[in-house]
Amino acid sequence: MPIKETETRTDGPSDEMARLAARLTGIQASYVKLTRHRVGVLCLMAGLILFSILLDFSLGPAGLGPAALFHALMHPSSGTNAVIVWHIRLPYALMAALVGVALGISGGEMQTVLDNPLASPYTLGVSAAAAFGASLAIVLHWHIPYVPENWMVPLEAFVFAVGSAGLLELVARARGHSTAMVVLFGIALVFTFHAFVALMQFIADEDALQDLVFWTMGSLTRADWGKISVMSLGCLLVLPFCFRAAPALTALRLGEDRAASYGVDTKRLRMMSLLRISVLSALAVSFVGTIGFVGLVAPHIARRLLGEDHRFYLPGAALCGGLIMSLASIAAKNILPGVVIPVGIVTSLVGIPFFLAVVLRKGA
Amino acid sequence: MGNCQTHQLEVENFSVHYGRRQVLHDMTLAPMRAGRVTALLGPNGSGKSTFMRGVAGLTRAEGCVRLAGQDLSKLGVGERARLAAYLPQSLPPAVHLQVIEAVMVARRAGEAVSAECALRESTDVLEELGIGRLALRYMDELSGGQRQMVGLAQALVRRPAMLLLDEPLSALDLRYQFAVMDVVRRETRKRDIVTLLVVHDLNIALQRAHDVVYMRDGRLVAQGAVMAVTTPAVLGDVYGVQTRLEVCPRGLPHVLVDGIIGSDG
Repeated sequence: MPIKETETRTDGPSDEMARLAARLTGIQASYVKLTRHRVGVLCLMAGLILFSILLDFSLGPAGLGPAALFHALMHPSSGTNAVIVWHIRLPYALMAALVGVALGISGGEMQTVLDNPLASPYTLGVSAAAAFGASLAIVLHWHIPYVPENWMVPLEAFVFAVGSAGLLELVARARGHSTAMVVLFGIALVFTFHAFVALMQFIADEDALQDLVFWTMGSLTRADWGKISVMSLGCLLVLPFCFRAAPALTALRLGEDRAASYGVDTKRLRMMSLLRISVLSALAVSFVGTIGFVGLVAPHIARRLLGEDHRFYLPGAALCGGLIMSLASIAAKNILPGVVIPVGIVTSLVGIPFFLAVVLRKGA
Repeated sequence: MGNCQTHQLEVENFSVHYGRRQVLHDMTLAPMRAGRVTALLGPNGSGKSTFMRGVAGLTRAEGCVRLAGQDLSKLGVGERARLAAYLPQSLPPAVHLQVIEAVMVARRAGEAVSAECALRESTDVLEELGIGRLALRYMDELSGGQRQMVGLAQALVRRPAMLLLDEPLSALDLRYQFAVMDVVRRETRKRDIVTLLVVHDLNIALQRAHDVVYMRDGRLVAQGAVMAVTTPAVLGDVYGVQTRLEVCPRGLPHVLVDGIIGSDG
């Protein structure tokens, strides 16, 4: 058949080679530069978090000066100041950052795995389910045999969080990953579990009610070293797996079939990812209560700043979450003099300026 | 790159069920040789996409699929993905990733390849496809046609022995339809790979593919070299239309549709 392959090269082969080589070097140099830039952004975020934790630590209703803070820090058993520093300031500041990291990375993975920019532990009901699970432990005193007392609440929160994440995955699979369907189902979960939690509040006695209110508002005041250890252990155990799955998640971002055709086991990836999300968000929620906004917005900010290569995007979402929570914790203590507002109330107030500055600044 | 010995794709007794519904019925095709582009043609719902997904290993299928004598169904997900590159029906999504990153992801997702190596190979493939100048642009800045070219680069950077393209032209304007087809044809020959693609435009298939496979209702109707099997009788059987085949002064075949045969239902 008279079909010719059209070759449109006009310059000689040596010119062509030189041009190609130059372009190759250019692209490689620019890729290396981009990678460096991203590492730089991540380092900057980490630095900001450290600074913010320090600020969070040094500000508070007690009005301690730097010298007093340092002295109390160095001498853990030296009176009131030491109690403030070791039992309030430090745990609150660390817990805020840890919870932010957990929620940020959960939201980041969730948006990829469910292929939905509205996905987050809060908007799709995982937080509400965890809160309901926790309320069973607090209000009804449901106990599981052989489980220590202080593990009961996180454990029951965890069970419900995993359950709701599993339901989301089932619906996503049954409906061929229709975005609208998953979001609708998630919203249904939110309402259902909010109703259950309200019911629990209604039948709760006074003490239990107070505890439950802490959840629905999200408060750092229950942070202690035991909970911080569990929370950090959770992060330390889960985050490496998140980062290891990053290349596969980037591929999944290009579409389920495409990722599968690259040899990614997408079903397994999704399952493992939802398990990680459940662990992290359930831990965060059961220790400090329902906190919205962070898990939703941190990934969007990370995406804008770092692109969607998940090797950078996931740590970025985690760091962004940590930063927002830490700043929120500062705001919670300093908006009203002498009063610590529950942190869940201020996260969105602190996060909105970020959101406007980074996400809505499109076409930049 | 590529095998010296030309390989071929063999499909025998190939069936696919969705639940209780049988979508593909015991299809046995003549071997499809490397270096040739085979177009899969048929009306909507004839099972073309299912066939492609089945061969790619994304849908469970019965029967035998052999590539270069190797039974694909006996391979693991990773090994199979290394041999067969499948391009889904949708365009690559407009994510906030640079083109070069998107291609590198495709290279590195299934197997352990160093970043430098992936970067060099990805740049090479982009150059070969003539889209080297897009390497540093973000996917969410590109047109649909450009994204589809990136999709091809993602498939080719994996150095597959077989390329399966599900409607690679459906979302593209006229210029990119021919640009993509020309690239597919050129790379198929150069890399000596088996290329199978689903197209809707009969004329593009006639002018740019070497062989065609006609399907209807999950069954094979005809297979062979384009001009040998494309006849008004076959087209009437497959599509239910009355056609004429004309050759333009340059020698390119064209299908002209005069009307439909009978009525639906």
